[in-house]
Amino acid sequence: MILFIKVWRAMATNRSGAAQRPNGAPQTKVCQFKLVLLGESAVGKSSLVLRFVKGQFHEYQESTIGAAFLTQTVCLDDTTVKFEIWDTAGQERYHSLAPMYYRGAQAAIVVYDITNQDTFGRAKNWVKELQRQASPSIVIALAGNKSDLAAKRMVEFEEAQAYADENGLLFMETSAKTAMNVNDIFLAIANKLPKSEGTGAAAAGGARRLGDAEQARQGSCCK
Amino acid sequence: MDDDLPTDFQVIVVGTGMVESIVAAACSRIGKNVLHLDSSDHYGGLWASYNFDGLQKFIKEVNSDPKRQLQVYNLAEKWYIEKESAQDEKKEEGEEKPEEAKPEPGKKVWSQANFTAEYRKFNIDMTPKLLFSRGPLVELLISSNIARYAEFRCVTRVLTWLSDKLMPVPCSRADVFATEAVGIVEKRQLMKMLTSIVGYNEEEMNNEFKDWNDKTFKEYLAHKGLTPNLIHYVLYAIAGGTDTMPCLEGVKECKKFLMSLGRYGNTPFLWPMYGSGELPQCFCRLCAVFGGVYCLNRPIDKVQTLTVDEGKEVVTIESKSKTLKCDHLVIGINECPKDLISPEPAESSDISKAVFITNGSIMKSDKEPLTLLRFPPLNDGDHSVTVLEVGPATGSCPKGLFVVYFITNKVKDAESDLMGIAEKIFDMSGGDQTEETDKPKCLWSLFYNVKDTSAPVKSTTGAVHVCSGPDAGLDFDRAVEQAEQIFKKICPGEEFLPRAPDPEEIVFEDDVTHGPEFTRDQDDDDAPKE
Amino acid sequence: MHGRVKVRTTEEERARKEKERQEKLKVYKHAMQKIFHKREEGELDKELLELTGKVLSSNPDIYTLWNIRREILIIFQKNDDNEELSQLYDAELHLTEYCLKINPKSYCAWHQREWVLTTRADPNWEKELALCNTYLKLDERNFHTWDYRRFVVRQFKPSLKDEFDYTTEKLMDNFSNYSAWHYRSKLLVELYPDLEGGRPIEDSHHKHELKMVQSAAFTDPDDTSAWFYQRWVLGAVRTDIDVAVFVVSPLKTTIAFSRPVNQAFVASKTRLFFGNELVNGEWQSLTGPQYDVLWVLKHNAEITEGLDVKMEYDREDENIQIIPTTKYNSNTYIGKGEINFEKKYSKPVVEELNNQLEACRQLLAMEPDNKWTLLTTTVFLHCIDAKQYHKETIENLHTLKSIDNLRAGYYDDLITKWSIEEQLIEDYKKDSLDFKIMFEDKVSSLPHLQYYSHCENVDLSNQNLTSNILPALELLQNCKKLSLENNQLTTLKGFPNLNLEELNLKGNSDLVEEVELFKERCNYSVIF
Repeated sequence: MILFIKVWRAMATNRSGAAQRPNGAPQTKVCQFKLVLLGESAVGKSSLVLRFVKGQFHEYQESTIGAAFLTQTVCLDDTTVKFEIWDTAGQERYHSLAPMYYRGAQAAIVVYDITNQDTFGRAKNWVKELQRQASPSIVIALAGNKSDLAAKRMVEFEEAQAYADENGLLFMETSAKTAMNVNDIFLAIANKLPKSEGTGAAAAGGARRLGDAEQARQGSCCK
Repeated sequence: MDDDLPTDFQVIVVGTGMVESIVAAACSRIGKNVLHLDSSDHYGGLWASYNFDGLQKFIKEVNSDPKRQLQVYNLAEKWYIEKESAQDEKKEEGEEKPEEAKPEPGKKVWSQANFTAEYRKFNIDMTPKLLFSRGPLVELLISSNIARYAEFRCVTRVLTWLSDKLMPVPCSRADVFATEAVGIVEKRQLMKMLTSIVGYNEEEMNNEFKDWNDKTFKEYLAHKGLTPNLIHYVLYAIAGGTDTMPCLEGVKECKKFLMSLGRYGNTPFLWPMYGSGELPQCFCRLCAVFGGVYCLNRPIDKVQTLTVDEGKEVVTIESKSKTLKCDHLVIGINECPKDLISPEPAESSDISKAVFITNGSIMKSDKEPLTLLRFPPLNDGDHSVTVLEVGPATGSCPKGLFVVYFITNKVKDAESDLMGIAEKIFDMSGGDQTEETDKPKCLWSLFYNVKDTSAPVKSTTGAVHVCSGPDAGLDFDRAVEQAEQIFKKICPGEEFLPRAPDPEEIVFEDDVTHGPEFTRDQDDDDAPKE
Repeated sequence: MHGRVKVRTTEEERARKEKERQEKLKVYKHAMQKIFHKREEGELDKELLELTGKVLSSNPDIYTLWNIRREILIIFQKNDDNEELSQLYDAELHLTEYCLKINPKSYCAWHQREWVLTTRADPNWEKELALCNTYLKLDERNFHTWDYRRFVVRQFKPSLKDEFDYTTEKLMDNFSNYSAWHYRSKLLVELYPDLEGGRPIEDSHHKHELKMVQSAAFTDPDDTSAWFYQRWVLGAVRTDIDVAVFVVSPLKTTIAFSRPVNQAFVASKTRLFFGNELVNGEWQSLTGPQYDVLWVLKHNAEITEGLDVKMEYDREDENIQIIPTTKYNSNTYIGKGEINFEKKYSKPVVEELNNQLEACRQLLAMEPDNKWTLLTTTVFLHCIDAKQYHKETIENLHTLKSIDNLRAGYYDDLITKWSIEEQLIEDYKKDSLDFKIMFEDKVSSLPHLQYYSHCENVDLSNQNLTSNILPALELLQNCKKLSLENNQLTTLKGFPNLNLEELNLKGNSDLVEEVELFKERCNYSVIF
């Protein structure tokens, strides 16, 4: 799999401003995407997010209470991709993940633990679920996490790769602990997402989110 | 599998209906330790949305379980189309592809088999409701930041039934300007009436209408010189009333309608994408995000309250041979053991509902419409009927179809109460679907009655809080109000759903002011990477 | 609590914001210093483009920086690298687009965009029109965007019908939109002129617009944009320029027109004959501006008894009008043109106006004190038949003055204008050189005064005139006796140079101090 990745350190965004192009004109094409993480409990979903968003890793990571989702921005050649990354908030633990969780998601990372065959089976179920229930154009990536524990490997790379190829999924083995392939898998997704102007979470064909920010015209029929 | 479920909680919530879910979210948000259970395998209870398959299961379940018929009864499902159609066979080969490639092949002929095949594209609401753009639920969603979980569509038009046909109701300033249905003088009258109603504050309202206490809104409108046309628009469509609607109530309903105009769209209403069943799930997610534990498929067997030292009550719940304990039990009325309810709620009028799937909108329009139609009573003494029509853009059904909901107060049974109106706006005769008709063909219908469990219910003990079921009203306002009341009892003095932080506001340990920079690997320039 | 997110307190947040602000300020100052240094050194290069671009993207209104960018781009124009230039222009458009997102009302960013598009060889107008659509979707009333749209349309020349429909669409969303109505008016006369009747707007469209704007005005009478458009639509009638009056005396001829005209117009459309002899000379405007209602031709003619003095005038309907004269005293000939203030609507439009009048009257019966309805009714009455409804219109305006006192001045002006028009028709039938206000209402303005430019005896006494009107009196070129008795003059500054014999200023007590000085300067008798 060949990926053309250019990430300019200089172009990386700071929190407030838009990315700058070298000629001084700011980067205006910003696409926002909802990305959901799926997979069995304890396969390292939250760790992957935290590694990607914060560059951190904790051995005994609990899902962060109070964070509905996190955001991270990736700058590609001509586009800024803003990921809104949703974690399961533990609802998958007793098989109680709500369908609204992956509604409107443009991308998903289905995670399994390479040291646990069951989690791979469960991952396949999630892929099936997404293929049935989520938007048809969703970009799905399969992540075999904990690749630093290759010694205890129970799921073969080739097996997973074959499964991914069959189902048209992006696939990488990752390690939130060593950071291996973590940025890469998000980048690969960013590259695969359609980035026509106006795509992304906020502009899905007229559906809207509510908020104070929008041009709420005061008054009503009578101005 | 569920055996590692912890057993001690501050709050246990049973049932994932709207009220229960809001309470669960509110408790979890301020730090209470919450367990949220549901006996079925999906969220929402009677507030749920089903895909077509799920709906079939629901119908089967209810029809085979007399206990469930205490809540839902008189279910009558009917098909108006063939099991399989000739088109299906042809389609088999090419599958999927032709859908977009074909240049509008005229109207599709739907068969029951198509519905089954595309069952996932349906989201059919058991309790379809709208949100007022400035109503309490929208304000709550925004103030709590739960709005970030859901998407909405604006209702694009409000229709009424006038002089034996469907008519758009001019409700915004732009509508009044554009409509050709009312004359120039009427425009001025209508705008004057609406403007004055919006302008009244509480005090002025009571003042202006102090002599109208025992009179109807209709009398008031007539007194103000409105033409019969305008009275119809204001009374039935904007206030959603009937001839007997009391004056002050009419004014208040109008004001509510008008105040919600112009915030998001040309009508005051919003519809949740994928149906109303999404909303309880949003609150559940917030609950989970703040640490709430979720477990579906977990029926409860027995509830007991114990008084421990100093009069403090503890509730114990038997579930799958496990004993769960909590200080407060919040429970949906339909899950609640009868002995905990005090007194038995009075018999109330039940609700008649119907769902139709049609092959076109009840009134053609350029862009896909999302319609509220408040059907005035056809005969004296009848109730008005709320009609909601939603299309594929809302995630409710496949392309080419519309889902239409009818809701009214029960008189006889759902079918007798609603069939008359269905026949006015649909072609219920079955037959050739490709035929060009002014009314859309009804392809499938479901009539049912629901017990009205929306009245607030007291429990026998202060540690148990019973949540009402869905009401027949247009919006969620009563559910929000009740949830807040229950929360205030459990957590006196605490803020109800304070704003959850945005990702940007969250500080991580050893975090500095700036977020981490996303850097490329050391070695690569612009080189392709494997 | 373990694992629970921390949120910055407001205090921390404020401190963080303040720190950010300070940092930004530092960066800004540094960048500006560097920019001006480079400019002084003449380093107009890409680096300077980048620097100015960065500053502008957060402060789009620093016009100096845009100027610098243009200087740089002009240098790059001299290079032969077309591709590079095209890229630079693209980047410039990109930057302005970004800046306009921050401040959609930034004059300089819009201007820069216009400059790029008119400068570059390969402008993409279609894209610009799409940009206008986007920005008008965000703010349908932003007149900058509408102005820019008109600029784009002039270049791109899309279907005017599409543009017209676009205004309809925007007005249907929100009709409180001066820009959209205004643009619509411009398109209307281009798209749908009445070729047969020579009227500005073809009948069916004229009716449609009347209906549309009436609907807006009744939906929200407090919205002034609709009223403005209604006035425009009502005024969209054929109004030809007529000769009002001309006066031939031994030294000069004055000619008054119904509306201001320029010198070329006077020179080419009018021919003055003494006998069979065409009088040559240069027409001059009295008051100086290019367009004026009164023009003067100086000559040295011998005015003899029985001289046939006449004027030929090329009317706008392409007929030649011959205006004869009457001899007044020994050496003055006066010719009067046709006088007509009626609005020349077509029959179908008058029918529509009558319908709308009927609707107004109904409404008025319901709310007699509604100023909007009353004013509209009054305007309709005046438009339909000024003469027949004169009494009613004036009465209505009096009512309006009392219920809408804030605009009393406006109503007064209307009363004066419409009353003078009424009086003028009568006055022109008479062979008199006197002008005296004959109606009860006191005037505070002097509309149509050029029609009285032939009068020798002008009595403006007992009115509400203030010193503001003094310059306008210059139109009374043939006046000998002028009375301004009992008015509210406060100064004589601006009093024109007239060849008077007598000026009556009695009853303007504020003039006490000035009048003596004034007397010294003029060579006629001043009564005070």
